[in-house]
Amino acid sequence: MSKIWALTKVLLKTNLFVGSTDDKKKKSKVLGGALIVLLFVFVIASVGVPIALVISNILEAIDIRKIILGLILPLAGLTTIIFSIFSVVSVFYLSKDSEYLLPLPIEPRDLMISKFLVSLVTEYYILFMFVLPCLIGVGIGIDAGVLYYVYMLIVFLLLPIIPSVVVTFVILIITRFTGVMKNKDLFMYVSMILILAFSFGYNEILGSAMEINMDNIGGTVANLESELLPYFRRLFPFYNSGVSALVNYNDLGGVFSLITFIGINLIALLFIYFLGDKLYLKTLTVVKGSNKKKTDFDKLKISDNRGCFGYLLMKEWLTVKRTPVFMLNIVLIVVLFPFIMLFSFIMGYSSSGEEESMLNLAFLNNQYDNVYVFFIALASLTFFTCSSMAASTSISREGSNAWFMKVIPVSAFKQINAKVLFACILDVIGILIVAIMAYVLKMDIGAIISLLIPVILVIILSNYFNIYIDLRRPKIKWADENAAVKSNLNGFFSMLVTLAECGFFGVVAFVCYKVGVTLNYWIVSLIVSAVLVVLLGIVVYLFKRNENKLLDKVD
Amino acid sequence: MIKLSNVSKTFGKGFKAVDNLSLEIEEGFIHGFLGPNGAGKTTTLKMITGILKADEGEILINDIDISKEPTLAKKEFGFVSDNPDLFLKLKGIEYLNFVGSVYGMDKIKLRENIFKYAKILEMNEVLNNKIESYSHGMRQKIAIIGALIHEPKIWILDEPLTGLDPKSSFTLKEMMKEHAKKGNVVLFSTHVLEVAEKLCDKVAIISKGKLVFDGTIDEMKNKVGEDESLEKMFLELVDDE
Repeated sequence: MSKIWALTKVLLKTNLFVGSTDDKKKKSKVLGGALIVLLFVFVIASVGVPIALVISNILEAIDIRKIILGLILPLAGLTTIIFSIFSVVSVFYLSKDSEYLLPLPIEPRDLMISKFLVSLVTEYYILFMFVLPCLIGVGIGIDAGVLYYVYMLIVFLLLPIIPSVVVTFVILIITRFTGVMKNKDLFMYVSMILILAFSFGYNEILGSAMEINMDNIGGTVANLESELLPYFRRLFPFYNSGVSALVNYNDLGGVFSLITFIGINLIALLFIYFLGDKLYLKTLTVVKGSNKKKTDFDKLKISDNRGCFGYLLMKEWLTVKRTPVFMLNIVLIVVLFPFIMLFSFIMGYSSSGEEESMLNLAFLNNQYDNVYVFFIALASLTFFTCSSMAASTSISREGSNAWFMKVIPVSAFKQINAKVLFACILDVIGILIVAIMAYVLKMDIGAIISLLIPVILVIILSNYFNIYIDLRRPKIKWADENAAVKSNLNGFFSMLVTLAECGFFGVVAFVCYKVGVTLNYWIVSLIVSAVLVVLLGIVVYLFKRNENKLLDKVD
Repeated sequence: MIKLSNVSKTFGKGFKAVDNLSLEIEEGFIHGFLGPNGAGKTTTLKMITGILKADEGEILINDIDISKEPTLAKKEFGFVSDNPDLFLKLKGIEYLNFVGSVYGMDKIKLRENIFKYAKILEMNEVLNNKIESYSHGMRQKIAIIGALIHEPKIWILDEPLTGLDPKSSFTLKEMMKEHAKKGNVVLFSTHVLEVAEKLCDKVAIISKGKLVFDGTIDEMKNKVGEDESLEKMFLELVDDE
């Protein structure tokens, strides 16, 4: 047991908390912790409190807590399944620690369970933010005693175990009996497709669960109870005892349910423990890099005339393209998000037949001369770029190669411009998809173009801000690529930058609405663009003037 | 020529990794840079190449101050890091093309040099594979090719022989000799004292961030006062600190 604990501690440090422990890092951890607490409070306020209100006030006649808990636990299970695909693949197969640990006299089952516990920690991060507030909301709603919260903590800790066991088992089987691990990149792409497939399924389920008509809430609840709950019970039978433990926390039935729930999860843990001997070691030893092909030197493509900047740009793209984790978090998120929106808008548009209401949603034509409408549209378009992490992780993504930026005879300014341009290209592709969506919704093409110009300038400006964030606090010490993007707070900070910009445009819209400003939208676009060009000029000038200091924090 | 004048570097709360170091690496010599683990060798090389900024002092690369004109100074040298895991997602040829473009190389010259060095170091058959598929030694070789293809006058090599097979190791040592013979600068760090003894014209020994010796092997013998092996003299000099 002590060996498992020691191993888990080491793996946790190498997989999740890589980096030095100097004062700066400690400060950044404190800052990160403060942000997480802030987000937690926000989720409690926005999700937990409404749940508490629904339970305590609206439906006293119906045992809504049973329904809500019956939904929360399976939804948490589904969330775990989606996120654990990546964390299991990353911790079990992509982490570099395996090659150091394999020669050590460690039992495969000890390694297996330690890695499993590490992958589980990642799930707790997510569940902590989104499930715990809901469970607390139920507690507040039913005015529960301390015992409920004790039960809640136990159930919460056991919550992700079985879904993670299922995912781990499936991945072990896939890796053991197919040749997929011979090409790690292919393996990651298969994982990504699995995640996307699950995500779409999840959205469907969540969508149907959320279709609550407040005018007929009794009927909706009855539908949930008669249709969705039995479905979830069949899908996740192992959560029934967990739900029962929380519902009946103050009687003997609750104790029995809790013991059953603990027992089921212990069996799952034992299953994964002994699976280590049978499967894990065998799958690890077939892990190989890319296939080697013999090179015919005469056919090699030697440098074309694209120039240094072109090569810097190409290096960014090739690295992202060939690293599935980067591809998913940097490219697909930015491009797919608006694309999915477009798809669902079109589907909704064609099926509903409510042409007018759809057009209303897209800010009506001929309304743009009301300046506030222009700014609301600008804020909305800017919001679409908030998922972009290309610039805010561009230095972090260099990882152990970061020193190379400082050795080559290319100015830091030029290198940073290449990274900013790369991020801008991705963001502009995302925004163009949104523009197409707006066009499909019959928005005036002139209005679209008049909005696109300032939005593109905002994108460029944001990406300079975002890269500055990453230049100031780059996360270049990471064990695997996930840490460079997924557990990098810089992405979160860049989202705050975008939201601040949206907020600014919102405030301007509000002021214009109150004052009642009207002006031709082309003129407004011109004025906003001119202001943005000036701002951009100042930012670029500051980058250029300080180019010798830009990479100072990249050590 | 590389010239360091009173260079110091402190990390964290007062740990002085390099302490008032002054050193001149002249043309026409292979200069070995020796020292125990944690002595400050890599920190010094990182300051020379601009990866780290010196807290105090001045570093000149062919009379160009690296802190004032970094881009110009960096054109003067080729650097091989002690960690050869570079751009693993790129193919060997893509990496070399990238390096060529960064140094503004002519396409014909680049092709010539890639062919020359890839053949010498027996990498020509794997250039179209991703670097992540290379062994440690092959990664070291591609890093060496990348550092040398733009024909720099100054070679700065941090543990360049680590991981190389005997034939490639021999080839690289011959290349270093030839480069120095042409009146160029070779500065390399190593832990292998036998290599330093056989290869270097001069050695600089650093211990706890301070320079404890700089000169030829014969000068070292005079200083220590005995006709010992480099290993024994090295230990004596380092222990004295």
